[in-house]
Amino acid sequence: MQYLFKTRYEDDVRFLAKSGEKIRVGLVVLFMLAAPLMLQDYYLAELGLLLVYAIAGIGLMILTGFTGQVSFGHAAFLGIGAYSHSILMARAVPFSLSILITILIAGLVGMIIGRSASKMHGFYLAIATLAFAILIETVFGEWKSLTGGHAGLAVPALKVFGVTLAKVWQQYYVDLVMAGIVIWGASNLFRAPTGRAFIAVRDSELSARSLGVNVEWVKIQAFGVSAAITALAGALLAHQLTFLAPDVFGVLESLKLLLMIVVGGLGSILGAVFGAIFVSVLPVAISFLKDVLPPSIGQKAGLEPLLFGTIIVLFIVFEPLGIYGRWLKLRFFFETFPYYRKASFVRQKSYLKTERMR
Amino acid sequence: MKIVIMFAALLLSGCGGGDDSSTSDLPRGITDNTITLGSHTDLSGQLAIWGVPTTNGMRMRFGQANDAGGIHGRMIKLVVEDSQYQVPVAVKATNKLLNVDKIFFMIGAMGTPMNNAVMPRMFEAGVPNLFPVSAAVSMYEPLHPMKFSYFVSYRDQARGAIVYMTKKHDIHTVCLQTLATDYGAEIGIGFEQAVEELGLEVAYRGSHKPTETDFIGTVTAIKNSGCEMLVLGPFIKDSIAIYTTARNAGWDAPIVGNMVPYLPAVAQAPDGRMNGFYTAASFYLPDYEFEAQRDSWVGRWYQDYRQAFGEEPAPQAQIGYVIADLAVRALEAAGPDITIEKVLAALENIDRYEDPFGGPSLSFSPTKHQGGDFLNLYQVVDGKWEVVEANLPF
Repeated sequence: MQYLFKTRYEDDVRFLAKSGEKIRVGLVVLFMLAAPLMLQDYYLAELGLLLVYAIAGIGLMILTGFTGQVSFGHAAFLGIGAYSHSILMARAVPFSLSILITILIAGLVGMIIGRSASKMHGFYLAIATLAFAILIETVFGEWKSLTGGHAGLAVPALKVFGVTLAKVWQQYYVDLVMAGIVIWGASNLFRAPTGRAFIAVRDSELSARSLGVNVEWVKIQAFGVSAAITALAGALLAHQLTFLAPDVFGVLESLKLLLMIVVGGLGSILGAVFGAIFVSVLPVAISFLKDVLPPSIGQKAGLEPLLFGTIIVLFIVFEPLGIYGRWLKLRFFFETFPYYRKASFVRQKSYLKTERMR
Repeated sequence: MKIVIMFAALLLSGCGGGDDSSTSDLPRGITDNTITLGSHTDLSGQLAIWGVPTTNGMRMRFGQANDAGGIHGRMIKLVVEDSQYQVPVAVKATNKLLNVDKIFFMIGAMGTPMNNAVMPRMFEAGVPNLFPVSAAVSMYEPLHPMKFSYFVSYRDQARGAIVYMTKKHDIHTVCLQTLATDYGAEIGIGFEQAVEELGLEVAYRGSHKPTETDFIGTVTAIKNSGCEMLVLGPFIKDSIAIYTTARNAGWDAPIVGNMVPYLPAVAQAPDGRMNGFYTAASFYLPDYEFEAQRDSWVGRWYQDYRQAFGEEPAPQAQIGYVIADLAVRALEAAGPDITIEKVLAALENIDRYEDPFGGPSLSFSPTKHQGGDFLNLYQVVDGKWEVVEANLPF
């Protein structure tokens, strides 16, 4: 068991308080930086895609995991990001400016949606966000002059400051830098008043209101920030896919994002990253498993969704806190060895839910 | 963290396995005793009804080629990835096929947007896209040495059918109802071309979403528009719905679809509901059970398929079989010192290929990368598809 002795004020605001955390994060950062030297293009592209989904996951996590607002339509923001970035790039807007404008557009759309969503709860919110996603998908299909309609839109090459980055490793570093900025930014957000207000609204709207938090405005902000980050992921995803069609951003993609953060573990930034690892690594692993299995099983149609679904069900049944929850328990087990008790993770306090003001 | 390390380990272990094929000067995907081909298709998504049987058909033909001693001693290995009919998944699958499996060429890849998304990176790697399971124009136009299409495109199916029908039945006013997707857009282009070419009048033009099920409003609008022929571009369920709604509403002008609803199940709709429905397609679907009784080639194929996969062949299995047969011919013609250029040249030399199932012939040339030479026009008569006109130009 390690005890933290805080001897300076900075100790309170450090991201990585324990030495173990520093080593682990350092190792991951080292691995990510050195990955292009070690990995083949295919694995590197997968790793890049993983980073993009991690960014999208953090976007949704801010809304669903930290502010408690469920969204069944986040693929719409992914799509807005991908399309507006590609359209701007095709009109010779430089990369950095295009990304900024994309984030602004999506943030604005997110806040407009947030304005109406801030009055909704539970099922109504879920249905409203789902409807929004279907609406946006239709707009992508019908606004032919801008999006190319259902025939699709080719994404221009990734060009940063006049240098074309066509190689897989070059794109990977762009994704890595963006993911780094987003993770760092999101971690900071939750130690600032805005982020704390998000969490307060999630835990109890009534308490938040009594502490002087403007609940509606917080929800609008959460939608805005979440949409902006997801759109950034969309812009990067566009470069990975090199071709956009409206059905890329359908309901299935929204569900995938939601599934990602639920399996990863709601309410933590690390959970979003774990979720992204889960949805990226598992299909690759299954695809290699197929080659090993006998053809009568390996070549069966639908093997992939079956295994994928089974693992998700097992997670929801046996570890509702997601991969992040499992990781916390594992770490706690080693840190307190041999004093680990199951009861440590049983919630002691229960709040009385009397928030029926509507 | 554990998971990250496991992931790293997985990546590293995968890394070591992939480098063993670059030992000699053979082209990618070829070793002394194997030819590796790839395909990404929908095995579990909304179009699995197409993806699964076409894949089985291909496996069956390649299996036969391997049983007969392979292609100049090389066994064909087909690596199939499930794209779930989603573009991101198809992109990932293609990356794997290109970089890990190092395929020789892609065959029977499913879906228009999926193919459009992955073709540039395939061509960059020097991997051709043969006979995708998509009848979009972009599968062979603009002409590219590495693009070959088996189907006559949706555009040309619509155009060919309209040209024939308007002349035969002296029709001057036409209307169109399609899906609001890439597929519907293609049919719209063929429709426009035919309208312009023949100076027809368009009375109505509508589209619907794949989820729509009620077409009374649509049919009423079509009926009131005074059009003399309806061109249809929906999928299977909505084709049936629109056709039966129109007939129930007492509208009896000809209705023409394309290869998508050209399926025995559509003709067999109860009470002869689909009687009179026209479709145009570049292939022919024999009655498998009838053929099985008279011991023809198709009958034996039907029995073999049932034995191999333990189920009745869906009509799409036949398409998978034919495209694999075309590929086998090209691979054989390329000779023992195989290169991708030789295979492509062999494909361009295929002239008047007679499809064993009895459809219109297929030909390729350096300037024609779309296989089908002609269309067949079919009509439902007493719950069965009958050929109205064979070998229609388009």
